[in-house]
Amino acid sequence: MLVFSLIFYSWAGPKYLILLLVMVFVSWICALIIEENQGTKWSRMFLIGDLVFMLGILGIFKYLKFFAGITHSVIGLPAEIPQIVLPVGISFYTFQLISYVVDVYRQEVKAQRKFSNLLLYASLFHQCIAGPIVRYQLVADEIEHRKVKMNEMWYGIKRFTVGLAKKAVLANGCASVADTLLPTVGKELAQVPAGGLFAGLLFYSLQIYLDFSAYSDMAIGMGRMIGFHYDENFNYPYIAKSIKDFWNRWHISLSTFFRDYVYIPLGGNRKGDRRRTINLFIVWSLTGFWHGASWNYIFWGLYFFVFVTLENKVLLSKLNKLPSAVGHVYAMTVVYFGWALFRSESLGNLRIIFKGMLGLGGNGFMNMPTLILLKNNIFLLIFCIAASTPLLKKLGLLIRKALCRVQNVPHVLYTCEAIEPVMLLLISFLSLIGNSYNPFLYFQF
Amino acid sequence: MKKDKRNIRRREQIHNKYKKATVDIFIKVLLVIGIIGLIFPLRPKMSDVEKRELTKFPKPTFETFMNGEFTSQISTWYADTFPFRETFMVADAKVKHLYGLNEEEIHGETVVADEIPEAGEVKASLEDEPEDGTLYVEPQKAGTIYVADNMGFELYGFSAQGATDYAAMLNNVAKKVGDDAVVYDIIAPTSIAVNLDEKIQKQIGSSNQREAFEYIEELLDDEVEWVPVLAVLKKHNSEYLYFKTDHHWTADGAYYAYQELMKKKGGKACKLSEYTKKEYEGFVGSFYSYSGQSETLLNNPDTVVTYTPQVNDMIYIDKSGNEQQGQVITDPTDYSEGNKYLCFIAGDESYSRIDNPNITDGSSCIIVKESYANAFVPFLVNSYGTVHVVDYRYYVGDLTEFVKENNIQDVIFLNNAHALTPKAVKKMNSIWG
Repeated sequence: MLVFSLIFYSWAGPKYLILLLVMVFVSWICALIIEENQGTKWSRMFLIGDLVFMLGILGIFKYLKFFAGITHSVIGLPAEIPQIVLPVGISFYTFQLISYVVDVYRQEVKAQRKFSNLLLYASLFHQCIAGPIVRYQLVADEIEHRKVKMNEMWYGIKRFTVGLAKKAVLANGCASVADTLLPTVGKELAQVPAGGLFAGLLFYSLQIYLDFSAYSDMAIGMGRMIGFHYDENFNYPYIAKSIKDFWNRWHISLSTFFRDYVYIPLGGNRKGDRRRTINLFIVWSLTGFWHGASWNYIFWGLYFFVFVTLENKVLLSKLNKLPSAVGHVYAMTVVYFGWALFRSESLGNLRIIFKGMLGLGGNGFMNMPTLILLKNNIFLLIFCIAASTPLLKKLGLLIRKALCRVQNVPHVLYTCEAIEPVMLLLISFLSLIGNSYNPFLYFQF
Repeated sequence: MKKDKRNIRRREQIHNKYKKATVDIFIKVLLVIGIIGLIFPLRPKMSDVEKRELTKFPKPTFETFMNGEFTSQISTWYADTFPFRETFMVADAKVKHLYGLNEEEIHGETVVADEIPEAGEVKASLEDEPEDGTLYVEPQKAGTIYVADNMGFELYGFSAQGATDYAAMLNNVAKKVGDDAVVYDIIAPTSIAVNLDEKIQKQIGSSNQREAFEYIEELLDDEVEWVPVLAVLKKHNSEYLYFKTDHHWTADGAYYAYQELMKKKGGKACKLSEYTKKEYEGFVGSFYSYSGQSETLLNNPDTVVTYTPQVNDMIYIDKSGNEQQGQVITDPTDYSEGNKYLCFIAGDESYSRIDNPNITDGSSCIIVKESYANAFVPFLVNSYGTVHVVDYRYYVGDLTEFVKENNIQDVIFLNNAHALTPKAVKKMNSIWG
């Protein structure tokens, strides 16, 4: 398993494997020393040392370019902005290793004696690239003793194929519409009519949820196949009734990470209102910044900070008195416009989008190509919206119940269940092959 | 109660059997796909629909190996050359067809176009940069395809600089050949300008070709003979003048342009009955591939109609520079369904020549063209003793000299509206010494 994971990781470039090995090695040593010196100042020093090292590495690879860009434009130094390639999955495994060392320091888990086991934890092929961020506590036991059971294998396959199809068919389908309606080139973006921008952002919202949650589905599924149990990472965020609710449902492993390792150590809500707001401010800036080294992600984080703070102070108590639909509409509106921030790494594009949405882009509300494009994808849209809510799941349960009532042993149901993963696999396979479609255009006439 | 429990246990046992079978089937299917993927001889090398060579297996170097480029190239190669890839792609297109309502379709991005300026507003940029000698075959972005009424249309984006440069280039060529020859210019409209109402053209975001051509005509010196063809094609637009699945015009469309040219020359156009007519079915052209394999287009294949002139033999210089024997009209029955337009003058060759011994008045012309002229050239064969054909994208040489040496009387430019881009015009200009 370890060897396989490492090969998988090296697929993105063997030189980053060295980085991974170094980071795991440092965490391994630090955790052991911390445990040996429990309660002394040494353990605290090694914890700090480890954190500085890990965040330092993450800072260099992920954020140096960003900061260099700022200092470059302010004081002209450095003269040349360094071009650093982001190693695959670094944001995820750095956080996993940090959580491990901190947990050892807090005596919540025992330090892992074997280097290879810790390496396996950090590099588990199915989750090290796109999450979820798995706590060491959760899998500590399973790293050493895990069993593959037929039942689990079956569930894993089901879960994995659902995730695969979600990504390959639904998310990629939404992405192609979103890319047409929200092109990244400013000049093209400025020609999209208001309705196109709204629709594009809707497709983008769906894409981002389906894509991200699909990765988690696949990771959870693959984990099950080989005997790991991970927590759910998404819980239908698009049915949330407030922003706080949304973040309890969205990328759960990330928000709990920030809660347990930043917010609560900073004092959480125990040190008065003002301190709480400051803590929230820090957490949300970091959350935004974690998503990418660019201003728009920070703004995106702070955007949520504003709403969460508002909710804490006044909004939530008022919302609770209103029908839940109001809260839902409010939360989705906030999230929806938030994705516009998330989408545009260039602030110029963001301006074009909002200006266009207000009808100031000079392109009217709708034009024929946009309308046709929407018609061509209308069923995809409806299906994706349904897939973002528990609707499909509930429907499935209903059918299941009905079938169970009709037949004592529901053979039909079981047969469908047996065919489903293969069908999903095949349809995803087609979709992925279709992706390589790339007509080569000679000077085209 | 007891019976109930027993029932539930039985159900669970059966369910477990099913689960086992599910796991079994899944793993087997995965294995089959994996094994098919490993049968290297089955891997295709060329894609007919996409008109390109598929990715080759990469050669590793130490550097590409270390930074992950090599492995990512392997991934591309693996997906790009998967056995039966085209079959799978067609199946995928069928699935995508289910995404929505398809009585009209649009494929591709928003067209970026310039407003059509007043004459004199834009300055020609022909001499701005030094010419580059490289062949002009770089890949371009696929056009935006609109599908309605079972027919594809490519949206047209007007380039003000391209149009201005094009007129300047023609004026320049007319000066260079001076009294030796007359320069004729034919700009072929594309199907969208002929078959779609101007209002709809505007609504879907396509520039107006009529206005674009008027702009160019106004910029031309008196020495350049302008041959208008849009109006006559429009008048006959109920006929089969453009392919439904391809961006070219049909031979019937080209014939009207030929008539207009002869009218301008003051000569007589040969009647269609003086050519041998043949029909070949099953042509699914470029719009099919540009539209990401639109089902609608696949289900409405075109028929290629050819008119063979008095002489069917020609010689041409192929892309490696060797002289070859060819035919003006080749039977495309064995060509793949995407390639049938290649039946006209052996496709795009850098230089071709057709001699018609029945015409002994010493008349000759040279046509500077892209592929739109391929369906047009056969008609010229009955009207000139010698027809020289130059594809400006591949030709290297000095045509000013060539016209003088060969006593050519007519220089005919034939391009379609999309060719009027600054880069293409620069290339056209560069072959005139």
